Amino acid sequence: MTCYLPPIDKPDAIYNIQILRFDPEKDRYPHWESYQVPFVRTMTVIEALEYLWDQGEYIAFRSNCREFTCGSCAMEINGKPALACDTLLEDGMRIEPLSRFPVIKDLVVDTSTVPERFKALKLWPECKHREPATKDSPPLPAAKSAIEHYRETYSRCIECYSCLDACPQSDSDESPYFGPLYMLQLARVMEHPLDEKDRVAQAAEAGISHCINCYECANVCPMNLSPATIVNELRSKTIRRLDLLFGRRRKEVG
Amino acid sequence: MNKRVIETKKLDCEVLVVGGGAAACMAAISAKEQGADVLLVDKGQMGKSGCSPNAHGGMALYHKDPRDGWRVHTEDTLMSGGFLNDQELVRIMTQESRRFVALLERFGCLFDRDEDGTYSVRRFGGHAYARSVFSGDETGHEMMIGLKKEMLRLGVSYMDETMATRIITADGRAVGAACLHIPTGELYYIRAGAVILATACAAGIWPSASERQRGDGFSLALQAGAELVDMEFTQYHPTHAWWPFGVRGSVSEGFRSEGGYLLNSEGERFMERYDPEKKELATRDKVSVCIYKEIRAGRGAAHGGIYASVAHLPSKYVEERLRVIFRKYMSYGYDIRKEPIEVRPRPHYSNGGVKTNTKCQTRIPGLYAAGAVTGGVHGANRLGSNALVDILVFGDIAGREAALEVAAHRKKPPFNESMFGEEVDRISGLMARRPDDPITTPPLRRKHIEMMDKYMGVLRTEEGMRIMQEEVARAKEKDLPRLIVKNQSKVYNYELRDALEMFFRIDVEEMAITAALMRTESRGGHYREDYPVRNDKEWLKNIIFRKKNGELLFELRDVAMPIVKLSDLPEYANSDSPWH
Repeated sequence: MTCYLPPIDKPDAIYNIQILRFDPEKDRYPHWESYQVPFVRTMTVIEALEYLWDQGEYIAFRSNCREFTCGSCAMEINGKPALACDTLLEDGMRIEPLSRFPVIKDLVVDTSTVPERFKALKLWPECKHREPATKDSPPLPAAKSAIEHYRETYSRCIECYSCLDACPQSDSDESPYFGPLYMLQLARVMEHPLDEKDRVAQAAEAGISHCINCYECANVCPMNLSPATIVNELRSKTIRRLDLLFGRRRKEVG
Repeated sequence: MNKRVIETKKLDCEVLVVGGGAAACMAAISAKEQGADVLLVDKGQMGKSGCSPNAHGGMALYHKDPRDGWRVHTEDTLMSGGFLNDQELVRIMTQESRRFVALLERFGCLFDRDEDGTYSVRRFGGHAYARSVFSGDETGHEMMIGLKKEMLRLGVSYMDETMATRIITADGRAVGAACLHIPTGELYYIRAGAVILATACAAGIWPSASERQRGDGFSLALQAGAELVDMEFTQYHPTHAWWPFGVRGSVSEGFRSEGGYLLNSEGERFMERYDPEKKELATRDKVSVCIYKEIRAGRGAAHGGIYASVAHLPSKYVEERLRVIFRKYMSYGYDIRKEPIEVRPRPHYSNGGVKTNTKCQTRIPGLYAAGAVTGGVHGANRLGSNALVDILVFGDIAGREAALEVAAHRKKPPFNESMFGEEVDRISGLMARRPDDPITTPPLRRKHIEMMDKYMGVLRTEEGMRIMQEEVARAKEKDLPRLIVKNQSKVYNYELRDALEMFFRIDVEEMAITAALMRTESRGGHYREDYPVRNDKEWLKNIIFRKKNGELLFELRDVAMPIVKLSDLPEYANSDSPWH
């Protein structure tokens, strides 16, 4: 499991951490377990989990890039969603899986509904006629500043699902509000020069009006994006659309 | 025979793509566009796994300067690759690549523009002109977003967290793969008319930063009977973060170009001694070699790296000019204005890999390969930002060719039950066995990583490599048969995954060492202290491996130069430096 790191010869301290364990083959309910890990300055949660793994504590968790670019290792650390590879280890930390999704084992959750919803929302540039790409295709019309804004505002999202976990209005897939991630993705594809779909209507149908403006999503985003600001901008567009205020049902989403 | 402790299932598809990065997604998309029934199996999660999202640099595909073109790009690639490249593949890459930036933008990506609305391009080391299209510092990430959305749009089927353990062949043809589904512990027999390998390379068998590249594809191809080429060449990045603990990724060249020093334990700026003129700004390979020489001479830093310091520079200058690095370390509570960091060369790419032809076919009919798992395009050393181009161009070709082949055959291949049964027994046996003197994966893996770094790393000698060769032979005979999996869980049993990877690793190590011992010269990513110069007279050859009846065979083949001859580039031809 471990990435190759310098061996820990002289730890600076020994920390106690707690991890919520659940083994579907044995347990009926999740339960807390305490562990001791050596701490070296600047060590993060992911190294603590990897250390335990090497010791024969087979705690299931997802991890891939370890550089905050893949978004695989989001978990709740001291009650807040965060990336394990981006959170410095502290004594007494409590680590548990994201609560927005069903737990499969230990810290691994079932996020398979996210790509399904991406698909239902058609989060790609949706247009009637797509010119084939050739060697001589000119760049799509987009200004330098627009692209920079697009990247800083939306495209940096690594889909770690921390914002979904933090959102009090979207605590499961049953909630009427899809959640901040989807709103950000809708706003993102709306900026694409080829996209023709009515994204504002989709946002309304995905329950954007349920956002209570608590900014929790912006507080937890490891990439320092602000889904809440995006939701506000998108929502102001839905309010100006009278056709969206009446009548349309959720099941038509997509 | 062992009791079968694992469940099995069967699946059917026309084109099976193994891998989850950009090459795999591109192959799946292009096969699907041809109308094939495609299934992608991915060891991680689709769009998040592999190393493509971590690629920061760019895609060298836009020859914007009027003096630039495919031929100049080809020459640059060949000089970096020590002329060992397959020139036909390089030609295809440099000629066909331009379309892909437009294609990715149709998938939903957007790349940086200049004020006039044309693509902005960067120049990378070794490229004669600026030709790399990028998206800030997150090109690979942007690319994966688009590919992932296009996969969803086309409705390509995919299975996350599924690891191929064996390519299944029948009558010398690839007819599917045995794949371990990690969430359930079931072994799938996925039958397919064609299999595309698009797993990453094997940098992760060294103490690498790209540690998810564990050489699965190399071993799968070898076991299936395909050929592998240039396995001795590993690309090192000289300054990867090493200490403080837990900081990851490369410390970019900016650190040195803005005036940072590399210091040994005596506080000496040792690069002045090795290269009085360029000092810290010598080429990557040279800096790597010098750092290792210092570490080996006992002048390494406290944790085994070498010190890199900007403490002598004004605080404000550091904050402004090294903003990204400064912030990254600050987020770990480490102030680079006051304290030196430790860096160390770490490999991040295997230049060699599965040998393919211009249609991405391997020696085994029905088995295709694309992306970092292949060898030949980059020769002995890859140019920065050529990787993202390679994976797009050849991913696309592999997907299309595989789909066309399947469409031409139409008939479903037979199930090779006996071969699949052997694989079930192998994995069941691994799970069930309890020898008297067992060994687990973590210590064995750590030992091999450390030894690979010491004996097969930047500095290679006959003596050191022989030690490693003996260790590999010993591990194969003594350690692998007593390797156990303690964890008997079926759900998310990563211990089983890691143990299976140990078998792949040994195959890759064996090939790399055999080739490195054979090549008595230095070239690109292969530096031998006992043969420190390039020898074009004897070594314009590729070393090619394949396996027959369990035995590793090798062959030396002269390099063909149909497009650019060595004599076309006299300045390069007249030098005997291993690096360009």
